[in-house]
Amino acid sequence: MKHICDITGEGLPEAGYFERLPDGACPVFEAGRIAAAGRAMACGKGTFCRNGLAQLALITEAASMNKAREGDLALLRQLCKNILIASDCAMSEHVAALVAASMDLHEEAWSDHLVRRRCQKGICPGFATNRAAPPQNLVRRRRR
Amino acid sequence: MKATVNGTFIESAPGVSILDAALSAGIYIPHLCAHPDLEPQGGCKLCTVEVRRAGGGGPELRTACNTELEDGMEIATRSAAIDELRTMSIELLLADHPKECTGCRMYLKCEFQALMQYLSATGVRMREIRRRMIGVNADNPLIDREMERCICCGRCIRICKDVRGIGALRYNHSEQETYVGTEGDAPLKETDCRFCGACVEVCPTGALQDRLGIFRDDLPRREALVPCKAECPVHTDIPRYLRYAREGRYSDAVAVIREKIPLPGVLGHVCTAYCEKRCKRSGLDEALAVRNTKRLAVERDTERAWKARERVRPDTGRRVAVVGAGPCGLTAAYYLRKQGHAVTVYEREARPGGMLAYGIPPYRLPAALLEDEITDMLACGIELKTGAEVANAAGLREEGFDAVLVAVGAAQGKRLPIPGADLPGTLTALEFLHAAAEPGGAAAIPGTEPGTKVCVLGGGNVAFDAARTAARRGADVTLLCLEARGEMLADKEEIEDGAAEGVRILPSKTFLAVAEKDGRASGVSVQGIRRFSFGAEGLAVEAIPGTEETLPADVVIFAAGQKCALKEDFGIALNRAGYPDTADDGQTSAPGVFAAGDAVTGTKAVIDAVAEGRKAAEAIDRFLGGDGDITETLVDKEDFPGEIGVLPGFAALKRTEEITECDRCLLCDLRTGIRPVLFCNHYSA
Repeated sequence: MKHICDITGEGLPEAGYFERLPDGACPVFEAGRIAAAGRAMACGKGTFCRNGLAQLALITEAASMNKAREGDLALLRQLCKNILIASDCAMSEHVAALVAASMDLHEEAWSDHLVRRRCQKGICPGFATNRAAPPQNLVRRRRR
Repeated sequence: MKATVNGTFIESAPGVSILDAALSAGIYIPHLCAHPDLEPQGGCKLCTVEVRRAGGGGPELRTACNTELEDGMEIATRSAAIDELRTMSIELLLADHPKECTGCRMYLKCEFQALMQYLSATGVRMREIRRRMIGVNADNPLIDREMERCICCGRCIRICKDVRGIGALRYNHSEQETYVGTEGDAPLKETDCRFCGACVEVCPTGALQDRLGIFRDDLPRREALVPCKAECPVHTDIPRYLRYAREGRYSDAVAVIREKIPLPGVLGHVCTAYCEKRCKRSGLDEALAVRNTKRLAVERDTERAWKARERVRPDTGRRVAVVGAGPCGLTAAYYLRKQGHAVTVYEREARPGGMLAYGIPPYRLPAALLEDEITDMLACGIELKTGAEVANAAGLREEGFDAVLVAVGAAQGKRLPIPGADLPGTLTALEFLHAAAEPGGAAAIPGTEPGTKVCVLGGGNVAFDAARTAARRGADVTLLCLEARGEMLADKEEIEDGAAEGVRILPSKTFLAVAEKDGRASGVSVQGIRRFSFGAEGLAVEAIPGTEETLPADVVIFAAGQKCALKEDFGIALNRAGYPDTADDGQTSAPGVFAAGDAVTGTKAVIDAVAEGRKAAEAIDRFLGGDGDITETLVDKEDFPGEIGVLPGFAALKRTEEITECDRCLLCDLRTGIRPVLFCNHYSA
């Protein structure tokens, strides 16, 4: 189909980014970051670009935040497929291709986030465990 | 181009899109961002179809709105891939769209809702998005923007930019959100928006709606969209003549007016201007000065090109008598003559014009203008008999007239039922104005010479005509009325001009009696009121105790309305109020005798009388065997291109008395040229 805008997605990671993902980087978190960046670039004309990227961003963010829903993985794949078919926009096609590549190349990591509910890299905020010392005034009160 | 859609053969001219070709052939393809008056954007993907080209190859998914039909194409509108794409498109759009359709004013008129139902799609799989930018530009005068309902189809943006040539709307971005807004999110009044309403017209959802109350909901929508034209009793094409006037084509402007009104100059001075009362621009600032523009166009029409287009049909051999040469009678006579009938007008006064000649003072309506326009009307071959009072309308039929129209107006002024109302020194406004219209007139009425005191009882336009006429003769005039100042029936400018000319206005007064001294009126006893109403028992007032007073007056003028002066011996049945009993077509109890105008309706505006005259002419023409079609074309109608362009500072343009006033027009009529989008049920396949 014809492209309806000339946004190319300059500044986004290049194709192959997930094949050479740096050590320590989480593919789910990275996919979410790319989707959010793409969403902010959308010109607004195309439904699959404007709203499709918004959904990609929200669902990947939910995966990072441990708020994924059943069926999200299939929905993400379907979204990526249809954005590639129908967005008519080089930028959103690029984003969809990157997110799809993340899912294809890092299937285990996506299963961790969506099924086993963990982030192996310890990056995604929804899975981080923070421990903080209790406030001092509370400690003193207990001693009495 | 010849192709098949779902196996059905279709054909179209080259360059036509698959969508347009299919819809023309009665085959429905879902679509949302496409619109018959817009260049396709191909953004929503709902019109996606599968296409096999003549040269072979597998099926390709194509958006039907921006793919041209080619010879030999085989098109499928349904497949698993298409259904998946369409369903997902709706799901995506629903993610940030309210789910409660019933609360939307576009419920059951919404294209998006219709598509959801057609495609059986819901948005439950997608993450719900709560919009933050929906409050932007919600506060504007004419368009309700419920942007949470916007699906960003871009129709409003495209029609504003590509069709209207303005570009006030655009896609804006805020953080992660795309929304339709203006440059810098400026209020619409501060943009180039010309409030033409095209954006509202093409919006497929309830995101853009006309503010409630701007358009009447008791009229067919297309009619209501042009409030000035809808409100005019003869439906003058006001936007069209304003456009011509703006271009300096005054003769064409007058031609447009004359297609409906044979007295354009007169109405340029005295029209009640219902059009201005509902002018859409009044929601923005002030109504357009339509009446004044009409007057200017007539004054500047030196060419009078419309004259050459006027036609009188061949003689029918039928004769019509019109009783009364007021605006209703003259209008009816004019159109009946143009239908080919021989018309004789009987007028009891010395001059034709009725209330125009004897009721409206010359400072409001120049006598020469009235005479010129009546002369123009009579020139088509109407016989006028002045000083000819008709005693019996039915008798005219016996004299050989095939039809008679009684258009004698409401020629009898009413006096209030209060003590002293018949004393010498009291008179009705009609009697006063009639006397004033005669050469040397009101000067002969005792008490209207300079310095004397005149009390006018009434708050309508006739009351102000009498009050201002007396004031202009040097009298000390007080106008008293029941209504509070803000509720007076007279036109605002009449009230303002009257006050400026020295008429003392005392509103919220009830009249107790006309005071007497030496056998004649010496004043008016009045009392202040809080409120009043008219019920089954007549007038009810809530008087304020202790506010009684008697205002001195040498002359008391009653401007309390008029009534029909006909008596039973006129040959037609009258109702209990003394007005002719008429059927729907205006025919009275006497066969072939019709009645129209104020004589039937009671006192109304001049433009109402013209409308009544037109209606009567249609009915009488049909009665005489004609087609009743009195429409005429005095200037060819041109298709106005939808492009109106930018007019800097449009929303801030102030009402003026100059011809540039036309620039302020919102061009509401252009909206009627936008083609509607038909729902799936309009298509056979």
